[in-house]
Amino acid sequence: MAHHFVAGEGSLWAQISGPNTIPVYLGCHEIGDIDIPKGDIELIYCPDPSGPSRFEVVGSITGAAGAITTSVTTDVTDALDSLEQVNCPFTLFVNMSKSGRKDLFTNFDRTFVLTAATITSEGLTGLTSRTPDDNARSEQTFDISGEALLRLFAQDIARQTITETAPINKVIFTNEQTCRTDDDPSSDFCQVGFASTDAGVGSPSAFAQVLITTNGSTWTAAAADPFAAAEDITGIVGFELDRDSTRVIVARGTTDGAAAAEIAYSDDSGTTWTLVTVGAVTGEFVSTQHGMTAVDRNNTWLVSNGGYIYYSADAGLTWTAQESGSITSAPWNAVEFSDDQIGWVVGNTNAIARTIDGGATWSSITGPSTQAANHAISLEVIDKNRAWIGYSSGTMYYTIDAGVTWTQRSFTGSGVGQVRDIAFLNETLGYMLSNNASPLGTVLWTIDGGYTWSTLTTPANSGLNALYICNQWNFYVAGETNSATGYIAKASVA
Amino acid sequence: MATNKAKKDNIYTTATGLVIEVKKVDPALIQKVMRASPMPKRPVYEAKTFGGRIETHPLDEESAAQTPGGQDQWDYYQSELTEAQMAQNDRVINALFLYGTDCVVPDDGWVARHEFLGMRVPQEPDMMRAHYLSCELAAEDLAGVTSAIMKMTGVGEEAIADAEAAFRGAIRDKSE
Repeated sequence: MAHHFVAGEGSLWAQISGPNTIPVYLGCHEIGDIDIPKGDIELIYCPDPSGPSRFEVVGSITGAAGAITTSVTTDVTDALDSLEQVNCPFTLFVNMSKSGRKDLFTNFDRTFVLTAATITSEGLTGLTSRTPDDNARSEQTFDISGEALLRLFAQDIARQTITETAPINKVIFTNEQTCRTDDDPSSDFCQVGFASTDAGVGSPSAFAQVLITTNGSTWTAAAADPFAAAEDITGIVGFELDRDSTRVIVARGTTDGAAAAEIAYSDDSGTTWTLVTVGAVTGEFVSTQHGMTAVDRNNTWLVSNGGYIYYSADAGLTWTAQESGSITSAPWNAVEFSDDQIGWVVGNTNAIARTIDGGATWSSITGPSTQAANHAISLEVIDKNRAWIGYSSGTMYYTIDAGVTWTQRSFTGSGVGQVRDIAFLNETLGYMLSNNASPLGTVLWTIDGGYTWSTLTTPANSGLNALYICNQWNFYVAGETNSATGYIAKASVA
Repeated sequence: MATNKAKKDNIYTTATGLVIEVKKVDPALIQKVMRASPMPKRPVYEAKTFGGRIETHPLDEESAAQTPGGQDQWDYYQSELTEAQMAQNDRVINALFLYGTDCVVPDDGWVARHEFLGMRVPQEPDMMRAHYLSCELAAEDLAGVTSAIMKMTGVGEEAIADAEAAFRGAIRDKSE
């Protein structure tokens, strides 16, 4: 039976200095009503043919969503209140908990997170009285506006049943959430998806396959396989070509000694594939599942095992080298862009590079000195100054100054195994995959931009490879073969 | 098997054939009896706010596990609470039998038996009756008489069902 929360079960927290800083317990503060304007409907009228001076509604326009507003009230005390000290955007958390300590940040059954909160006005009341025995409380109120309100729960992760026997390297989805129209049914987040696999000894045909789903739960192999036998598929990206078609691009993850790197694309959900050679360096390939990324159809990058960075501005038809092994000749392991200008790449022996001009120029970055001998294997770019890197040493580092300084962020299990993937939905909500020495993969999540990482109960697995975040409630995980089949799991709110 | 031979709303006949007249009991009296039973104070934990203020919040099962020393406090509180609730139940039952029943207490030597067992048998007739009923009735009859009194008192059926369940549980606990 559902638990009906009451106000007394809530506790208020704030990240005074924004995401990825310590959340502090505000205690005796009361949050007011939270108003979430989602955009009014403006009706469109035309003259009604049934008579003069009459109008009929012929359509509507949805207005822009407004800022989320609320207020926080607290007593005036003989000490400076934490909110009195706020000068910059901060994050506000309303943790709702059936039980447990109120001053334990991770102790919640659900939480409401107001991001980029700004104090827009302050008010003071009841400071003095003309009546000697007036014991009314002296209070201060902070009016707050924020950008978004996340409604978060710890998700349940459930493995999906698939017949593919090879490891699953990566899962992506290409559809948007849409409402029903006269022409199309509605669609939810993450219904149309693709997964890349290894060729693998256990694969039925020894050909690496692309798995396809149209409902987010049933996965079937594409009609055709993109590459030759025994060649793995590592990277996979997808985007809408136009209103009616989606392009999926996959990268070959195995060397073909006589050939250069190669991708294949399909515009018909894997019925046919077109091979495209990338660069001219024989033997190159995309060595990991994170080795290809697309911002949109006009901006796709892939990185090679030979230190090359390739770019396509035409949805994968042609590729040019933006970086040709001058920063490193070792494998790049991951490439990630936060937009079409800001991008990072990471690779073996702690090689890191960054661009702020869409890859026209790449600048080498010095990574954490303690990781010089380790491989940077996963990457998440928040913006031009902030990025996260996961290492083959099982550690995770972040920078907030474009790589000038690095800080390690510990988590349960850090320092063992590998950090296989890091992904953020926004600057607040993120997930990571930690494969320990067993190997056994664990999903961890953060709701405070990475300051605190909590473990999610993860179904039995033999190592996890990649994450795909659908929205604030759902994400997918791909992993190694476990119990004779590849591993795809979906996280959702119970 | 208990035999509830309730021929009239105010007459309850037990499985052994004892005829008990049940009467309305003032609910305020029950409330007073319950309030007169001291309950242990729930333990608390201290939470320090960012501003340095110390708050106290009631401990629960989860926060006990999250608080140093909290589990011991919680376990002790739970045992004290169980004891107090059982004592409160006994007092309420005594009140119900004292003010809500009337019957002829059989003279079959039970007083001597109780005294032999170390129980103090009140000499005042009403108290003696209450003592007799609370000790000698079978569990089902105890629950039946209690619910009959509560119905006459005007207590809601849901509350009566809860009380019956709790009462049977308490009886079972005593017998285990």
